[in-house]
Amino acid sequence: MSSHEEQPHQEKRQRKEEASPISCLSDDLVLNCLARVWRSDHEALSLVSKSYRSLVASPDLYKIRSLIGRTETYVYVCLRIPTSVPSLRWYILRRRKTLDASDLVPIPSLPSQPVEASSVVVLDSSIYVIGGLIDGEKRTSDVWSLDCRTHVWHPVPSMEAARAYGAAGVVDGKIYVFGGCDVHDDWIKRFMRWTKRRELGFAWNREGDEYRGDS
Amino acid sequence: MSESNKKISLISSEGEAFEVSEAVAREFEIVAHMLEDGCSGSSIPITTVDSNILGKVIEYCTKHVEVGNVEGNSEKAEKDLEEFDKRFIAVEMNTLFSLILAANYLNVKGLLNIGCQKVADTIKDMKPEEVRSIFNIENDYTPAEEEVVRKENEWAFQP
Repeated sequence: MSSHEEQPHQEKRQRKEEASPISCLSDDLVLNCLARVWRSDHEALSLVSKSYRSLVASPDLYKIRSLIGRTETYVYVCLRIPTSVPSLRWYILRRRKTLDASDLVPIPSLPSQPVEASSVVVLDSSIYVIGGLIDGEKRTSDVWSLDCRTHVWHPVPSMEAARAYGAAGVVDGKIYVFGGCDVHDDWIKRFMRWTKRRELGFAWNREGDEYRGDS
Repeated sequence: MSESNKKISLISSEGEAFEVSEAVAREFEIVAHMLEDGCSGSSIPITTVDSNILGKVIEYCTKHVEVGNVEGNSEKAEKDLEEFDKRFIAVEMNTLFSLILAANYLNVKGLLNIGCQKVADTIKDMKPEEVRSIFNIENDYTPAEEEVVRKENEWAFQP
């Protein structure tokens, strides 16, 4: 196929649309290609265009990655920085290719994250920071999630109770949080189950009282 | 009835006929389904794929059927096939995209996989501008927006 650079603009554009098979590639096929690129190369792809950015961060891309066995494990580190007002910083631990050493690569931190006593769990592609102590004494019911695909922090509906040093775990796609409330509370009643629903988002359910705040 | 020696004609978008064995034609899942659905005709039109690309897809399927039929040293056969795939998919971008489109339409999974993998290997070290040019994409970011995305992904920049 010959290309004539001197063609009038309109005609040239038309020729390009007809001739370039890539413009016919559906999002599915583009995703299939992008899913095979290592995550550290995704940043360049995010910069290509807005639609690429959303493709690179889409749950479908991560589904394809697990289907074709192209999953990657990253270690996330949260450090308490001992400044006069202590703060928390988040990093990814990355092994250097050439030296037998690792780097802590900074990612966005959450300014309002309690500096101690939060419970942390991983569910799907997100890290959840649950409760904690503010100013060393005040329990909080706040919950935040870090989307590890985009490294953006999202607020999550608060728990009914404020908790610090609670026990948290994930079973069968649900987050369970026990204890960590004020000693005067009946902690058994404060057992919470957090259900993630595809369209509706999140809802905390309290045992014995199937509370569905999201419908 | 014995199907092993049956020949089937695949007709490209230009009307050119490619005669292949049924085993090769069945590598095209779309054709396999037609045959199972009782399509008994010996010529099948593949209207969206041109002769050049159809010829290549047939070459790919023929090789894979041949190797699949060889008994014995499977490790060697696998290596041989890997080498073949590597050489086969080393084509320029437009041909590669056409092969992916054809593999997707005809449902030839192995070819679709190596095609997409080849695109991934090609774009992985590219700058955003280069990806835009080969994928024919317009940059719809303002410089300020671009800066925000760059910041978000800073962790990946580190050597």
